[in-house]
Amino acid sequence: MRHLRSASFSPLAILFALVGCAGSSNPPRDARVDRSGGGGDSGAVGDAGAVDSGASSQDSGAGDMVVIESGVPDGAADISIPFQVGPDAAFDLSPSEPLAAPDAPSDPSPGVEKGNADAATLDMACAAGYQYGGNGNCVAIGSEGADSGSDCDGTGGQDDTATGQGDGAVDAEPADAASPDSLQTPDRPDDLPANGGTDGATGGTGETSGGNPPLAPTDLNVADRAAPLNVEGTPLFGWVPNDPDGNEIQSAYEIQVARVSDGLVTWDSGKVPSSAESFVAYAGSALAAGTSYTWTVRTWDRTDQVSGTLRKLRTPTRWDLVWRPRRVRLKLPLTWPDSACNKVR
Amino acid sequence: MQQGPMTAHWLLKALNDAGRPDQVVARLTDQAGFGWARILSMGGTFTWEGWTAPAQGESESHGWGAQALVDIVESLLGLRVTAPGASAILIAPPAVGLSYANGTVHTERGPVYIDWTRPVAGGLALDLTIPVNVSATVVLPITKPASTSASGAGQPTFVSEDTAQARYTVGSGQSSFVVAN
Repeated sequence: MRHLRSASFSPLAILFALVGCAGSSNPPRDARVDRSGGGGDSGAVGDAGAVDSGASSQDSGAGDMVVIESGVPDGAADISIPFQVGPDAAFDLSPSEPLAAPDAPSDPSPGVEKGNADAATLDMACAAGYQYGGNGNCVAIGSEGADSGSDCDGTGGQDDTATGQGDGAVDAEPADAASPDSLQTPDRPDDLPANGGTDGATGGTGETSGGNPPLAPTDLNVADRAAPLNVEGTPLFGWVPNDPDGNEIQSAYEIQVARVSDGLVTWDSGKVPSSAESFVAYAGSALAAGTSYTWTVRTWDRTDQVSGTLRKLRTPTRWDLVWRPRRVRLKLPLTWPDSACNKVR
Repeated sequence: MQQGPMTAHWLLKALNDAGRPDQVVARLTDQAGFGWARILSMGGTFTWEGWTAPAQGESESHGWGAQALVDIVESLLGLRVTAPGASAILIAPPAVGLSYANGTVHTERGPVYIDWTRPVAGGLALDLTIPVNVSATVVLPITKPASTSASGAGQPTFVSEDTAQARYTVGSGQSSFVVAN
């Protein structure tokens, strides 16, 4: 299998990389498909794989643009991108009772002070007993992984707190939880009413008999797209639940969609007992064309403990200002040790 | 191999279904007869449209010739998705053939990592990492009864066994399985 040594990424090379050396009692280890980098690095199909162009939106002049943003972690992709719907898109669903906008941003243009171009940062709201550890992970307070916000942790191996999803991400900004600009998404789980849910484990310390609460879901996407430029038809939400415990499931989820301009919640799914984590259809009040929305999700585990949510801190309120050509970033789906840390600006 | 590269998957699948995963390996690695190993030995750098593509003037960069990747994942690494969205998967290392395989398969619900080794002395060692919200059935090849053990975060649970296979279920996280020789 000497051919493997040529750095070919052709299917042929992959094919033979996996086959290894049949029948040999002492197989050459170099023929193995290496797991270095841990889950999420070696093949990248399920990785967020986002190419963050920063081109969050482009004012096409059309009046039929609906923008939906995902609260995605630093490590996965730091921005979400608008998606477009046709003027007759099926958003005229029965209006739900909109919840009061939690802490809607009062300043319509707070991005000015930071410079609009750099305004998008992300934070993660973690469950009680956990704190943001970078790379899209909540880690137990006091654990050694708590400070590992390093950009490139994920390229060398799977660290203790990694979800296996966001590793290898480029340019993970430090969380800015204390930012006064932090906007609308409330510090769940405390602030968000869990409609119809028991929510009894919200204040869980991680020491309950049911193990630890889930970590915030990651890899938020709309119809499998991490950063859609536009979406036609009903938005279909997806995410990946995370949990520090083994043998865990998602027993329920709650999605909240809010209008970016004023924080108006257009849909709160309430606590939905379901294991679904992809292609969950929007079912809130009608979405308006040409309007930006943001969304987030939290999950419950086997023992009904609830996760935090990713929280997106974003200051521009005019979606046509989101396009940021000097902050183009790339997230590489494969890990190259030298290039994975490059910041493309 | 008389099967062309674009339909060779069906031959490889049939071999595996017939209990001959070793022959899947043989077909993949045969440098003398038609096959992918011969493409490499002839200096090819990508899958060809046919086994004699240069002579025929066919494409030497033909993605459809790579379908054997499916068999490598399903038959040799041993992972099959068994429910929509990969909410359930089947992990079944081959009983004969390769001495080891490992790799990560990226499913709708996250990466599944599989690493199995067949020691020279016999038996099997299997390590898995399974995403949250995924349940896996693990089928281990055995040659004698009650020769398996399992442990790990996924809380593997023995289900049943017959003369050739032992069956477990396991949840998310990292778990290990051993078949004694």
